[in-house]
Amino acid sequence: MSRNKAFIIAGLMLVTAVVAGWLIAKQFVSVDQTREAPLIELQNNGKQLAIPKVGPDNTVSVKVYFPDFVKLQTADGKTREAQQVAGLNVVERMVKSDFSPLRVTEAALDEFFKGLGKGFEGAKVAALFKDRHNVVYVDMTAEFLKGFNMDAADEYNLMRAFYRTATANSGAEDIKILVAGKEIESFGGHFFGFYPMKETFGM
Amino acid sequence: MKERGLIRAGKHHNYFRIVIETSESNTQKASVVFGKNNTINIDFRSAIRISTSKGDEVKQEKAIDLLKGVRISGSGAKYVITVDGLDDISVSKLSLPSRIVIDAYYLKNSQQAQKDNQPSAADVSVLFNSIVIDPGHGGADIGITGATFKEKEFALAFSRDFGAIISKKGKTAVLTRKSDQSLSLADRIKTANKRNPDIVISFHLSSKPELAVYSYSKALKKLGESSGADADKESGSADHSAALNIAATVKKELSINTRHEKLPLPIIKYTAMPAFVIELPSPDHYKYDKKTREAMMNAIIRGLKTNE
Repeated sequence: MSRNKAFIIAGLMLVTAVVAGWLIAKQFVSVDQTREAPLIELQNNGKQLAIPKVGPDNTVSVKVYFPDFVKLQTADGKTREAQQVAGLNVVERMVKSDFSPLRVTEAALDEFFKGLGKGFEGAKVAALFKDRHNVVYVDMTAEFLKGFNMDAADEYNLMRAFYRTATANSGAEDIKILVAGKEIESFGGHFFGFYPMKETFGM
Repeated sequence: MKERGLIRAGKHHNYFRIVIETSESNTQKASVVFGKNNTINIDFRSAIRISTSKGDEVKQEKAIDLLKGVRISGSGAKYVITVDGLDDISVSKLSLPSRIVIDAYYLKNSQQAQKDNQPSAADVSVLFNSIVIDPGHGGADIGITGATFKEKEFALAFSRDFGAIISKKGKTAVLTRKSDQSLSLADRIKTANKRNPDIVISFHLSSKPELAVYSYSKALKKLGESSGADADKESGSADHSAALNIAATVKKELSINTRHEKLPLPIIKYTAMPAFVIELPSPDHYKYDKKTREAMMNAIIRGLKTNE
């Protein structure tokens, strides 16, 4: 009798242990499967980007697009020849950067604003990050808005060039601009700044 | 007993001056509106008997010629003056003696145009019944600046004057902003869609010595059709002939460079009715005075004639 009792108790304990183990395992697996992807991806998950060309002194090549109202000049003041893409001038420049697409993009945008010159002297990228939908957020310094003393067509082509420069070097699906960490209603009073750029400027 | 009025008319270089002498209260109460088909509609609010300087009493059933090309008919409180080729009117109410003075501007070739059975410029100038006028920028958003101007101020002043001309023609004109205030693009679009006019025009300044007209993929609806978003807006099959025509008319009448471009500007893209952004030539490059401003406004209005 006591032997049968011992078997029953041992059997119950075994069943309890199996059920408990199954419940615990289920809990962990379940949490792992439903957890959302992190807001900021640390690795590029966008379009296939060609590895940039490498130059001396830790430089890499970037593509920078300019609207046609910007005069492109060489170091000695001569007009620079540029390839035309979708009505924009595109030039390849060597900039100091590592191979991180976001750092390359930041360097390309700095080149973009240097090329624009008058009105955009103080404009710089303050921060750059990418969300899980591969939208790159470009946070600009407040000086960015000071340069928008232009008519609608010029503003359109300027923002198209910005968009192309940012996407060409980051592989982003879309670009969203912030100014001093905040969303803005409009850049120069002609176009929305609230929304990602692709729909309006991605043509 | 009905009050009395005396009407007389004289011909000037490019307008007829029509004067109606009547009591002070009739003069002040009267409304004078630029109507359709070369007409000027006068409503005195109460019955009045009008006679010509020859002593003929104006009646409803038969129009009386005041001058060649100027006729009047009517009775009671309402009278209609018809001027061949009527293009614009200017109305003043004066005292001692109390009188209404109407300068009726006419187009010289209108009679030939009518013979050819074509619409005259006066006909096409009133094809829309209501308009929302959006003066660009405002408040902290200054827009383009020059030595003598700020875009936000210029756009507001021009829009006000443009609205006054439209109102004078008996049409409804509403401005999205009436003072130097910050107004978001979204609020401008909301105002336009809420008012639901026949047409929306947003005035800006160009940095160049040219007039630019921007449109998007919406067709001008014909008068009489219901307002609101329609298939044209989404299909992209819209025609831009009205925008092209505004540019062509301004170029022809004012001899300045003009340009038409398709741009996805929000005020055009997200409004439910035909809309244009017009960038006027920069005051640094174009001399604006009373005459040239009026000529610019009239050319823009006439340019909308492709709404047919």
